[in-house]
Amino acid sequence: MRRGWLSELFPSLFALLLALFLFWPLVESVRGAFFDARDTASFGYVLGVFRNPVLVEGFGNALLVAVGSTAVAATLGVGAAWLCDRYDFPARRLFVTLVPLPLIVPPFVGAIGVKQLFGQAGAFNALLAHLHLLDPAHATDWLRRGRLATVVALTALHLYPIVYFNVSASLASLNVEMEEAARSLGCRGARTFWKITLPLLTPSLFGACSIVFIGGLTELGVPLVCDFTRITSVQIFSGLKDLGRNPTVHALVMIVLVGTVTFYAAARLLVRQRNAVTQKGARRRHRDRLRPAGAVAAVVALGALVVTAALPNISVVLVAFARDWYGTVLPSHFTLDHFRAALGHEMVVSSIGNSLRYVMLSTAADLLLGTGIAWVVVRRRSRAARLLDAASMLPLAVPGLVMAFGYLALTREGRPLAFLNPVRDPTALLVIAYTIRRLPFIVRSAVAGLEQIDVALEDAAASLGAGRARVVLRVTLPLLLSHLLAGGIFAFALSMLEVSDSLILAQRQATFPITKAIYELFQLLGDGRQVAAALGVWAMLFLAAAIAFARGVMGRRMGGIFRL
Amino acid sequence: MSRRVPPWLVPLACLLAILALPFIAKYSARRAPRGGQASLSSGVARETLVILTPHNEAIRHEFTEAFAAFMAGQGRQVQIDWRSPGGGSEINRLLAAEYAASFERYWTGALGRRWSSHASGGFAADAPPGAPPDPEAAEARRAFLDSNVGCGIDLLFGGGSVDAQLHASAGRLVDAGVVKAHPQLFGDAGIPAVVGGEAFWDRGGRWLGVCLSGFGICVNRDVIARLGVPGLPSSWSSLADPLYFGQLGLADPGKSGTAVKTFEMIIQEQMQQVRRRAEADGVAAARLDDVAVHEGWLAGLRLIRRLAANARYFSDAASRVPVDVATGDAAAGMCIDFYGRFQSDVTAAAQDPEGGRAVPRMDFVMPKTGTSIGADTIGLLRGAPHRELAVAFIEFVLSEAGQKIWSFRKGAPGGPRTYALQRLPILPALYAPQYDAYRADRDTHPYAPNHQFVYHEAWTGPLFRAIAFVVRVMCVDPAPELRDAYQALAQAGFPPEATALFDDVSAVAYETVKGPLRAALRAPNALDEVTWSNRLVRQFRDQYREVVRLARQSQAQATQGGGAR
Repeated sequence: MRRGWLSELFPSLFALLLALFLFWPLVESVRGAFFDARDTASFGYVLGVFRNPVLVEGFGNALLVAVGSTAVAATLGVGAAWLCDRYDFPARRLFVTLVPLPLIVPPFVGAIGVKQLFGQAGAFNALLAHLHLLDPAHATDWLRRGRLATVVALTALHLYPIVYFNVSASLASLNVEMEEAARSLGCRGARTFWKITLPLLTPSLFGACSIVFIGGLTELGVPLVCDFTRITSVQIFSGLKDLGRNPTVHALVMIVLVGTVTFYAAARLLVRQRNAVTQKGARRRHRDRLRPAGAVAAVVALGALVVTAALPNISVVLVAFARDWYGTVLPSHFTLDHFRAALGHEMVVSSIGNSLRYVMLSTAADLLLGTGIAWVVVRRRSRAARLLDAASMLPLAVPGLVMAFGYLALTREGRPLAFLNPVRDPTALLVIAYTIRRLPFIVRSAVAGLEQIDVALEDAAASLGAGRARVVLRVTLPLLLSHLLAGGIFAFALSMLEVSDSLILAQRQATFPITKAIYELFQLLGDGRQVAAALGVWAMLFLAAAIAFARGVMGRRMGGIFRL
Repeated sequence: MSRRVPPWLVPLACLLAILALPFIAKYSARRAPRGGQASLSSGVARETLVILTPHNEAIRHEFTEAFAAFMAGQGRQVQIDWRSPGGGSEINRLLAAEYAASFERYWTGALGRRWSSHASGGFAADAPPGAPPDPEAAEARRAFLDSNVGCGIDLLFGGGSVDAQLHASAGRLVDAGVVKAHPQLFGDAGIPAVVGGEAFWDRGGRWLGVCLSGFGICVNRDVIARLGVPGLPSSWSSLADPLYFGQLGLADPGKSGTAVKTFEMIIQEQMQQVRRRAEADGVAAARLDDVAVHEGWLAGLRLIRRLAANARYFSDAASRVPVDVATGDAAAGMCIDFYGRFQSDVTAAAQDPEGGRAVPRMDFVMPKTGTSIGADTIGLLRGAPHRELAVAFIEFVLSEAGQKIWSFRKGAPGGPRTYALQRLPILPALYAPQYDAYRADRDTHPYAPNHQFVYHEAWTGPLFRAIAFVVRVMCVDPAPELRDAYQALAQAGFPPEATALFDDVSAVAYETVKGPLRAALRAPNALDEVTWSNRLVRQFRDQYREVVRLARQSQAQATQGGGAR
């Protein structure tokens, strides 16, 4: 009786939290899509979007980028994860360590880094000219060449670590007996992977691909760097920043949200039918040592992937040390001045403390809420659970500015959430905002993990007398830990680098998080971008060390992803 | 027996070292001499002034120090609570929403009225001309303008005159009394109310200009040499040369009032050229203005279209164009003067640390005509909680001491201590010869008489929003097709038929824009605007595609003709 009451309470509680901190601010912000200035209801704006050929084409391009970058990121992510999990070869540990780099590119200066490399007077053209492969009088404009393909490639390289981590977590704890059985029946190599391994990875792959797909659909930074404006995310961003009224922008946001949920629900239905295998918690295999030729091929392939994906990071580091970098492969003069200016700045020390406080709290809240939602989604399998599942993906598709203004609207004096007003102290609201925005990462990781745990293991523990809490603590959580850590790291790193909420909700210098400090330095005239890059480098180093520390603490007890 | 080092120890040591770095840097920065006193704002302060601003940290820092020192001289301990939620568009949204919420509380609480769509739609705007009477909206408007409803913020500091006027018209900015209290600062003896069509202060005293800036052209000498452009560009029209194709950075008129003003000036310049030609051709004096306005409007739009066809992008961030030009990612672009000059100086210093050997690769040019110098503003917000202190701040910013902070070089007597702000002062007295040695920008004098250009308010002044709209639907939204059309034209050698179609801007002729289009943009129902936008975007996109077809056809015919010969 008590169990039934509790299991009803939790889904309602999660639904309430999402309603309060996701749907309410969203509705507050986009109600303009259906009402005009005199509060008259109208579908005219939504229809107006479909009658504008440029906006319709923007949808098409967003879809192409989403599909293309998901396909490329999935191929790269699964390939890299499989290689690192199954085989041993030189520098494998180094590659595993470097995979997360694209996720920790700091905002604002990341774009400068990419342009410094691939701009017309960038390092890549300089290298080609140096090798006599390019006439300097006819510099190639790499970022604008084949725009759509460039956007797809850069988006995929930015997002592939999400696939890598989720699939690694699954591979690490996959039961090898099925593969061994297949091998004993004569099935080998790629056929085993295609027929046995890949279907077993489906939950993780689906989770990662749905995040990458929605991420690709709403990716803003990459199209902005490439000046690719005919894509929905840029059209929304531009509309939100218009000085005058822009009547269609909220309708555009609504259409993207409805489209995202529909795509996700349809994909979930398709994948659910195929996925019925659970296999977690069993024996795992040892790595095969590759022969020299195979090892060389693996090192070259992984090295190319990891270095290419990390080029923005490398470039940001060089920009931070450069006094001048123009038309040369490397900066012509180096200096430490930008680091002195950035790290010695009055607001930087407090912004670091603020960010740590906001992000640690939000990651903890994400782990609690995300795991709870995942448990409801996997173990209840009701219509309400499916709704909760789809709703938890929405934050990926909501433009940051829309949510931030929704939060502001709800926390004004006289409104029900006025006690959270960010002007006095934005801690509570920023923690809520970060928690909601990064929730999908934890939910997807935890759902993938739970789907792979055989319920028989929990039943066995229960039949031996373990109470419910003991089953969760001794059986379920240990099996889930690698997935939670993977999701937790995404949530932590991406919250540290979150932009829109940080810019709008933290209005006083004493409360700035680190991304707002980077923005403020970026705004300084003259060498602002190099000073901001220096703080960006500090943020990258901090995140890298934090991830390494997490790996060091958890490594031996983990099933997987960070075992070297 | 050796013990293994735990795997988390090294990362933890690194983590702690990384965390310690900013503290060490801050400590050493404090110990280093800064040429000035420590922040006065960090001490125990009795009074607080709350300022909402899009200004960067450099401006905030300098004015915090200077104002705190100034007030300390009067025996008052003051600190500034800066609120910076982003740029102009974020601030506009924030203020509109804050005042709507505050007024709703006042209307339903103190006045005991019901909150309705009439009250919410009417309190912040005067009824548009010709709209049916709405008593409740009018009553809400009166109640708001008579009230002291506030949002807990004292001042709005920063943003162009267009933004300031928007807030003033809505009733969010109120008269601070500075114009009446200091008549010598304003008008003929001081800061003129209007220069070249740009308002420098509100006659109602609700906002005042505090420094000046305008768009000029920044240019990368290396890139234009590579493109084969002869010499530096001297006017906007020189940037329409197809040699600049894909190499221009333009400012987005949807995001910047100053950018719209610059496009308006380009149109006005064309109108005046048409007028001079018509006068020389003997057109009757009574018809001169009419010819100038109609023909000049079309010529201006054609020029803007050609500039846009050369554009890499329309930027929403003021800092982007100068940075891209400095790094060689664009050949030239539209850029706010102080950004352009500062970036040129910094680039020259970085390029040649020893100084004096290399030719600076980046330059900034102020076009002789067709540009506009606008004011950056300050205004007192309705319901300001610290009104007296806010007025003191406005007076300080406009005083000679405040104007020196804006415009003097770092370290000059009375100038900024840590950052050079490089802005043009609005106070004419600061352009006196005795200050020439101290001003960061000695060459620009916005009050020097300009005989070449006289702004005609009546010609384009009422079309400010319409110009932004036309540039968007004609150039920004169909940008890829526009670029394709210009490229195809250039490759085909500008064949007459295709070029004539490219130059056809009759869909947005002066009568259309001044009449039905402007009415749609002012209508309370935004659906009219959506309909116009969709129709024009589709029309221009189809037009540019047709230009490509015609140009290619003509090129193919020319090739066949050449082959046959």
